[in-house]
Amino acid sequence: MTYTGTVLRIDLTTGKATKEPLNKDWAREYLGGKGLSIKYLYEELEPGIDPLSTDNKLILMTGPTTGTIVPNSGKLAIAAKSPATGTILDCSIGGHFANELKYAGYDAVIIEGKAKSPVYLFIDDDLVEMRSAADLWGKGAHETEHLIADALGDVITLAIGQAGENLLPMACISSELYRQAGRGGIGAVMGSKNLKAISVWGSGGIEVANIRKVSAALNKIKREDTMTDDNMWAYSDGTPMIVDLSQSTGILPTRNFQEGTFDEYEKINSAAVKSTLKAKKACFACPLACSNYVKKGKTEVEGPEYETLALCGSNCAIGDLEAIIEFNRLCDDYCLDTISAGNVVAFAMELTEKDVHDFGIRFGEIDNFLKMPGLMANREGVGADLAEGVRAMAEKYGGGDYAMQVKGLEIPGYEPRGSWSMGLAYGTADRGACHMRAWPAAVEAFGDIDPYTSEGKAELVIGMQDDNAVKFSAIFCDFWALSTERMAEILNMLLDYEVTAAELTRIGERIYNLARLFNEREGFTKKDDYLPERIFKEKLTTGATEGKVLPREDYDKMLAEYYRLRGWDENGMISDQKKKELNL
Amino acid sequence: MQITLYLKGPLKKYGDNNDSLTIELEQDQVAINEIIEQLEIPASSISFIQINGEKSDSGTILMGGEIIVVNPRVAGG
Amino acid sequence: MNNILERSGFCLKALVFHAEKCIGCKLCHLACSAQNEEIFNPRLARLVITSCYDREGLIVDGQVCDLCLSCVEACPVGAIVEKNGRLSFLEELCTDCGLCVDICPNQVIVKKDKGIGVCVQCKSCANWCPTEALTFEEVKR
Ligand code: SF4
Ligand code: SF4
Ligand code: SF4
Repeated sequence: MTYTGTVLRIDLTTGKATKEPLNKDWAREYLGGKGLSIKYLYEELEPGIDPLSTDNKLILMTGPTTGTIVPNSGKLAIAAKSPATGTILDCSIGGHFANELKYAGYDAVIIEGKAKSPVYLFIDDDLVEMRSAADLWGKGAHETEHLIADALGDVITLAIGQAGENLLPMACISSELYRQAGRGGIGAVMGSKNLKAISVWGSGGIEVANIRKVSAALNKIKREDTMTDDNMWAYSDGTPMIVDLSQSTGILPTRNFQEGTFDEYEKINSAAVKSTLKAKKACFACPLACSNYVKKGKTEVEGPEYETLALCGSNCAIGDLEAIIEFNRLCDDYCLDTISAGNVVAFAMELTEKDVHDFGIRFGEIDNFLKMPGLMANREGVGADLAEGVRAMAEKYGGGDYAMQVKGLEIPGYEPRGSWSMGLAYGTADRGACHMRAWPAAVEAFGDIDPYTSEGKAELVIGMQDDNAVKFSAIFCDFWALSTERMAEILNMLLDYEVTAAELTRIGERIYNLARLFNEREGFTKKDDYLPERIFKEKLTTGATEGKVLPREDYDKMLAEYYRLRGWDENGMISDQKKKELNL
Repeated sequence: MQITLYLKGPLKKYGDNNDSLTIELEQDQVAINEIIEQLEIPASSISFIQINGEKSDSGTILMGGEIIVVNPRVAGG
Repeated sequence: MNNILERSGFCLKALVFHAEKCIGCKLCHLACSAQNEEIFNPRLARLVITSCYDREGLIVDGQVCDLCLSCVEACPVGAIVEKNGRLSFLEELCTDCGLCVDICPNQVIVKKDKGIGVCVQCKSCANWCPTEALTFEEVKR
């Protein structure tokens, strides 16, 4: 059994840390990671709480594969109620924190309350210390990590930058400089608790029965199912590979989603990124190494990922890789989510060009572009408005039809007018517009399925959402396209009970429904499952998607079918029967 | 006739790790999937094929001079 | 020391680490601890691969047993022996003096509660390494 069976609960208000047994029944129904952290939050948070108050909780959750040699098992789930959306929020972060936490003896950490003054936590096996962060507060995440390493040596750290301290709804948590729990303002939850960082070091290990046999079987799986054509794009290119795919299919967000192609895409595509590559880098236990450590001119970053190239590149009409790398590095240091940051800057550019409000920045202006992360993170000048996200900006100044967000979360880098299933995926994602709950563009815009029909899209999206929900709970990285059969085979090597692929899909469905139930309890309804008007009304004007919209009737159709197949009523409320069926 | 083929990402290995291949063909017309078969690229490893910049059907007939990009399957984003 | 090698009359192969290929996945550490300690615990591996950032940027570094045999020479009771280019450890002889751990120039001997762990050239690490950053090559002296 690869759970440690122990949860560490830390109350920052009192400074007390206590160990408690992991709820085994819940672990069986929700596995770990995304699912189990949502379950804890659903049970422990009062409905309607302010996400930035002491009532919110921050959960770090590992899974049954964490710390073992299972390929791509190096992710940690971090969850809380989202300050950006008010929905449930779970993020996935790579690096080496999750395994280290498990080696320290914990499946999860639940952080409550608020420290009187800035602190950071040090978890060193049984020893849990709350240390003063007086000298760290006000510093970027990068210097914070370096200073903690100076003080504690060989530890792995989750940290926030100024954006988290200043409670931005787009503040992320970072680890090992360039890994992020990016979306929904998870970093602001840390900031609201006066928690600057969490460092961990573990000396223990994970025992598995027949470990040599299990390792040999897993090595075979790694060779024959992980390091294959389907997944090795991560090593050969990483996510920048998608720039060319999106450009040629007309779904590369450009100029705040006014167009689906970018004239200067060749300056920001994978070939361009590769020309700056210094090293490939992996998370713990990952053979795929999607990360590109790059240097260009005076700047360097581990990245930029596709999302950054799209949202901070083409979407801001910035065709200069060095500028994007620097913007990326700044965002990582201040701890700004690059998807939201790119969207916000692009929205400000469009509002300025349309004379709606002058933010002093226009499309393609590199110098101004590079000033934005600092202004936003510190809420200075125009940054004070941008810091609040596109929805709040639109409420204040207008332009709501092209404030590109769902439930208050900015839209990732796949244009829904050229990939209708992505529209449905954004609309029904549990934390607002997100591409990681389902990424049907892979088989639709980039595959054989017709992008411009509502037919069959609901089923496609639901299948992916459920599979991903269980995948992020087990936990496996998104970039290994493994089947639920394979997942079951692996889990059966680690657990002291048997699971089948069908049961895993059921667990995924349960998790997705519980997330929905959380949001339902917070007052979310059908109207929150809609996309910005631009997607429904404005025709794209270039490339493969020229003349395309996602007609509202088609979206209505997809959504209605989605609710029906999910077993929800026509308003998107989970039926009692479904609740019973899933033991919710 | 002559065509130029770009095999992207992990598919490069099917072209002896070259970034691009220039292929001379005896026939006047040939379907793109015949070339894919000759190179022994499994269809399941391909997301989509572009011919002269446009997403194209695998049955498309080539007339010569085309620039073809073969994209691998990609998961996650 | 050279005498020992000559006597073995064997083409000596030892682990070699290629930093430029390493992605820092630590699968080698896990493979080593699983094979030799029957647990997944990277700190019990008989090699040390690091890939992390300091203020200057990414640092990739690796230490592996290169069969220098300092430990064999240092052990006062002969608990570490080399045979046919392979180390083995005789736990019943070990007095836990720790001399080998201190003397290993690569610092790859694992100190355990009882006894120590040396690289036994099982090749598990290299078999797992996804990028061929670990290879077995002839040791040149
Ligand atoms: S364990 Fe260390 S001292 Fe012993 S042979 Fe290997 S490198 Fe030399
Ligand atoms: S060869 Fe075996 S004992 Fe030596 S470092 Fe590799 S896995 Fe460990
Ligand atoms: S397995 Fe190979 S790539 Fe991974 S850390 Fe070890 S040496 Fe580096």
